[in-house]
Amino acid sequence: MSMRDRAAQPHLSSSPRRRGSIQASDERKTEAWMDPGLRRDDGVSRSVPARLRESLLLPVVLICALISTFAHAADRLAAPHLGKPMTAGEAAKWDLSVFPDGKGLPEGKGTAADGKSIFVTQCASCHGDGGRGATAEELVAEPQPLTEAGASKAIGPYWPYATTLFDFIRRSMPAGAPGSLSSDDVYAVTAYLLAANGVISETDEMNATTLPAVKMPNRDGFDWIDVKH
Amino acid sequence: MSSHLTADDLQPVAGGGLLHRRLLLKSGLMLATAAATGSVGVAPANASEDLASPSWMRMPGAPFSAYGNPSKHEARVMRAIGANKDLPGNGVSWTPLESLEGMITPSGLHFERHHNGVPEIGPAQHRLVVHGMVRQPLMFAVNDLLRYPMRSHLIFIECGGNSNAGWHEEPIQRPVGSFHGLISCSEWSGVPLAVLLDQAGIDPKATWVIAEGADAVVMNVSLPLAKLMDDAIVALYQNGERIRPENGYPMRLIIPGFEGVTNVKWLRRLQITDQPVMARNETAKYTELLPNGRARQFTFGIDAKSVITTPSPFQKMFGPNIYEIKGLAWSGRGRIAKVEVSADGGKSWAEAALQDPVLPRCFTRFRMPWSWDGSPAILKSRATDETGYVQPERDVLIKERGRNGYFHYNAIAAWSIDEDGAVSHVYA
Repeated sequence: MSMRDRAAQPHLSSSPRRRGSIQASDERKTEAWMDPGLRRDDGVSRSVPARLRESLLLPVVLICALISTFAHAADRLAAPHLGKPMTAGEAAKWDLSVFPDGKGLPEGKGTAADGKSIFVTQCASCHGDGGRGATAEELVAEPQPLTEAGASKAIGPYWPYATTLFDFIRRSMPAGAPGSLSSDDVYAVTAYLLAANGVISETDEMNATTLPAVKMPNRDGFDWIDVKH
Repeated sequence: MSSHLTADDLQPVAGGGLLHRRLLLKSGLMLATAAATGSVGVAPANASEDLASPSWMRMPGAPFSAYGNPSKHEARVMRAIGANKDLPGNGVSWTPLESLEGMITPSGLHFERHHNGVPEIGPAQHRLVVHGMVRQPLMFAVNDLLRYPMRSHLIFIECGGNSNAGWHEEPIQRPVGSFHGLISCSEWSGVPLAVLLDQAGIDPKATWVIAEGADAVVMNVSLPLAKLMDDAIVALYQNGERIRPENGYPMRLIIPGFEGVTNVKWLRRLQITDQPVMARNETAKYTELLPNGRARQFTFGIDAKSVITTPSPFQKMFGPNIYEIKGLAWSGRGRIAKVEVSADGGKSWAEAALQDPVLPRCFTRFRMPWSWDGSPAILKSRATDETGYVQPERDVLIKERGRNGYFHYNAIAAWSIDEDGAVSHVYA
C-alpha cells in the first residue's frame, strides 16, 4: 500500500449521527491523534507526520500541522535540557505496568486456595463475600451474555485481559493500604478471582507465564473507537 | 423600555416565545433571570439599613487579604460531593453550573473525580520519569519543569462518566450541576509534552504512552503517542496559579478534547510503548457496553453537548416576563458552530447567540432571549460543532448505545416549566 493510499483511509470510525458537515471541517476529524501509527518517523522534518507530509489529499490538515510544527520547533530550539539521565535499571524501579503479553510481571506464584484467605481478610469488607459486590463493585458473576439488559461487567463476563487484575491489584489495592501485597499475594488473589469467575480451575497456579496465557471470555468483545488497532 | 426596541423585535422567532438573539445586542431589553430558590440570591436587606446610605459607606472597610475568598454571602455556592461512605476519597464532586456565569470555572469549584483521595505531595520529592522506548530515560524535578517554555490551553475537561444519570429510566431531579457538572473549564499552562519526549528521544516504532499518577491508586491509562505529541502539555498552572491539590498538584497531564480520566493528575511517569497496558480504567471502566454485546473502547474524544443552566431544575421563574435562557456548549472535536434552543419541547428551534470568544475544545456560553407568557413550556438546547456533528436527542442516543454503556452520555436535556414557574427535568 502506498503512503498516499494509506493517508486516504479514514482514521476515525464514522458515526451515522454525523451529518451535514462541509469538507474542510470534515478534514479536521483526521487529526494526527486519531491514529497512534501516525507520527513523525525521521529526524529531518521533525514533527510533520510522514503520512500527512506525503498526502496531497489533506491540504487543510497539512497547513494546520505546519503551523503547529513551527510552534513546536521553536519550543524545541529554545528549551533547556534539564532531565536527569537515568539508567534502564533505575527507570525499572519506577515501572509498575503489567501488559497483556506479560511484560512487567514479576517472579512469584499463587493459587485460588492461597488467595481465598487474603480475599476474605483484605478485600471482602468492601467487595462482599465471594466478590459479589458491597460498597465496592461486584467482581464475580456467573457467565452470562453481554447482550442482556443490565448485563454484569464483573471480571468473568466483561474484562478482556487477566493481566489487568495483577496490574490493578498490585498498584491500587487494598484501598486502605495500597502496595502492601507481595507478588505472591497478588498472584494468589488474581487466581482466586479468576477461579471464582470460572475462568481457571481452583488448582491452576498463576505466575508470569500462566497469567498472560489465560484467555478471558470477553477477550475479543471490544472495538477501539478513537484510535486504530 | 429603550427607544431602540420596536414591537417587531418582540415577535417570536420560534414556538413558546423565543425571541431573536439580536435582542441581546440592544441596550434597552430588561431581562429577568430565574433564580435558585432558597440557595442563591440576594439576602433580604437588614431592616435597619438605610439603602441610600448603608453603614459600610460610613466606616472604614476591611484591610487587605493575602488570598481572597468569595463573599460570605455566596458561601452556599459550592461543589456537591458524592463519595463512597467506606472510602470517602473515592467519588466525585460536581461543579455547580447553575450558579456560575461566563466560561471559566473558578479553580475551587472545578469538578473532582478521585479513586482513592487527594495525595499530599511534597513538590521537592515529586519526580516525572519518562522511559520505555526512548533513547535516554529522563527524570524531571518540579523546579526543572518550571524553567521550560510553557504554553496554555483554555479548555474544558469533562469526565467520561458525566451526566450518566441520563441513562436512568426516570429523569433525575437535581440541580443541573449535580447532574451535568462533572465538567469544568480552566486555563491550563505548562510544558508541551513533545519537548520533553523529544529530549528523551522516542523510538520510531513507539505508538502509545502509559501515563501514571502518584495518588494511592497509582492511576494509569494508555494514550496515543501522536495526540500527545500534537498538543498535550504537562500542566503546572491552573487559571494562573499553581494547580490545586485536588486537580493534580504539582503537575497533571492536559490532553485537549480527551475525556477527563486521560488528563492524569499528580503525573509521575510516562512510559513510551508500542501497545496499550489495558489498565482497569480503560477496560473494566470507561468503556461502553452496547446492546449487541460489544463494547466501545478508547472513546477518548468528547462529542458535542450543551445544557441550559438557567432556567434549570430547582430554579424558579418570576412570572410572565422577558428572560434570558443561558447555558454552556462544548465539543472535544473542535469549536461549537451553533447552539439552537427550543421552548416547545423540540417542535421548533431558534439559534442562540454565542458569546465570544468561541474557542476549540472550550466552554462556549450561549444566550437566548425569551418572552415567557406563563404557560407550560419545555426548554431544550442542541449543540452542533464545526465537524458537523449534532448533539442527539435522548431516544436517538439510547437507540444506538442502549442503557448499559454508562459513559459518554451527551443527549439533549429537557427542562419542563409549569404554570407556577417551577422547573423540572423531563424526558421529552
